[in-house]
Amino acid sequence: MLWQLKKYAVGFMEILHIYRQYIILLSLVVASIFLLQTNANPQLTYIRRHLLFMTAVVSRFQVWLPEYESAASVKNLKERNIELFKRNTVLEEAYLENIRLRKLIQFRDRFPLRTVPAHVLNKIPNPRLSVLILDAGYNKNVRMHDNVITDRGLAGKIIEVHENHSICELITDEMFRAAAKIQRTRLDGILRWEGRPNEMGFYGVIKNLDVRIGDVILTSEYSEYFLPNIPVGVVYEINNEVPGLFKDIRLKTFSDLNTIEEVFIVADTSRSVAARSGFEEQFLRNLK
Amino acid sequence: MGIVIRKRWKLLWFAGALGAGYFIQYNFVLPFLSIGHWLPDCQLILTVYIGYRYGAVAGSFFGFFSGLMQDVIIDFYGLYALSKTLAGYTASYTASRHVLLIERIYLPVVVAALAMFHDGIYYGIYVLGVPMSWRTMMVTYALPNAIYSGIIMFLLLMLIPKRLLAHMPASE
Repeated sequence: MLWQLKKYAVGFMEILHIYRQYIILLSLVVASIFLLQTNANPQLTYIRRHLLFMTAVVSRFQVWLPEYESAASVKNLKERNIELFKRNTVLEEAYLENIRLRKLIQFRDRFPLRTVPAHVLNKIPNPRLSVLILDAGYNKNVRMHDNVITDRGLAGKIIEVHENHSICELITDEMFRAAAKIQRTRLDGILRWEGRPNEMGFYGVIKNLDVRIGDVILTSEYSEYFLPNIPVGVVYEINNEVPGLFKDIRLKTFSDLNTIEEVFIVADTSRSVAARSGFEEQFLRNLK
Repeated sequence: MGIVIRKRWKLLWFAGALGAGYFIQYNFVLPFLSIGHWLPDCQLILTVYIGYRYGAVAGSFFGFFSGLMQDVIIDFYGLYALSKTLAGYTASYTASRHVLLIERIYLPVVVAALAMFHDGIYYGIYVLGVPMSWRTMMVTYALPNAIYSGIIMFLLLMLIPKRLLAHMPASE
């Protein structure tokens, strides 16, 4: 037995002796690579990154290999996966809603007028009748012509009230008109929708008057239904090359009326509060 | 037992001589040999010579340890060690009895060729992840340095007496 082991050892040593130069080369190369690994240079970072990528590629090939999991456990895992996916979607939705509602609560707390929060039950995207159906009606003291706002600016006005719900005409309705003014110069004009989503026209400013891109448009004191100084939008295009006396002014609305889900109905119609200086800042600070 | 102790001493002598030789050539010889940014690679010349004369094992070992000393200078451990190990190993395969009479011409060519091989590996790793081109580095630095190393090898061989050169390479 011992003799045989000795024979194997001698044979092994002989093999080592014959191939010694290859073994030594391999050992030195391995030692060099080991030393290279100890560096923190960008070259090594690059190599490590590519090695990780190659590992990912190789692991993708592994997917093609036959799966040794039992059919029952695979089915079980798939069901669990679907369940987790559903739960994840619900949590994600709740998280986003949480962020949105927190902002709205903050806005409501510091807003000087009494407001009724309302959820959008339905949107009717017909350009001839652009309205929202809200989940607040007489039961929450909502009245005709109450202003509807978001934390960023004007959204529309109530045109129909029922016991549990009401209908809001959006500012992007074809029939919508409102008196408005430019914040910087106090020039008056009329707001109307011109057919593009989240965009409006500001009509009635004579061509030689001062209007600049970036001017903020607010509701005016002349308006019959709207409280003054509620921001509507910002001027992004001015065109004097149109026939007639007036400029062609276009603005982008502050409220995104395509994705609107929660609004505030202004239940307090005190014009004196809205006319105070700095009222519009309640909205404009949310845009920053 | 005596043989083992003698071998250990031999190894210590080898390491000491290598370190001292490297220190001397890095501080006193290289500054006089540089032409612009071109420099001969003295370690590589010695590695190739040892690989050529004494075989793959000696060439690989010498290449590894002399490369390691250069790695200390550039603070990139393993880079010169790897390229010089491979150069020292490859040098042993260039030895041939058919070139004995033209060794003074042949060996510098081998040095230049292996310098290109060595720098090819060196810059191949060195340019990874940094905004440098391997081809530019090879043309700007590796090629002139390889030619310069070959010339230095030729001059060294001219200084060595012919009778010392006229013996068989180890791998033959």
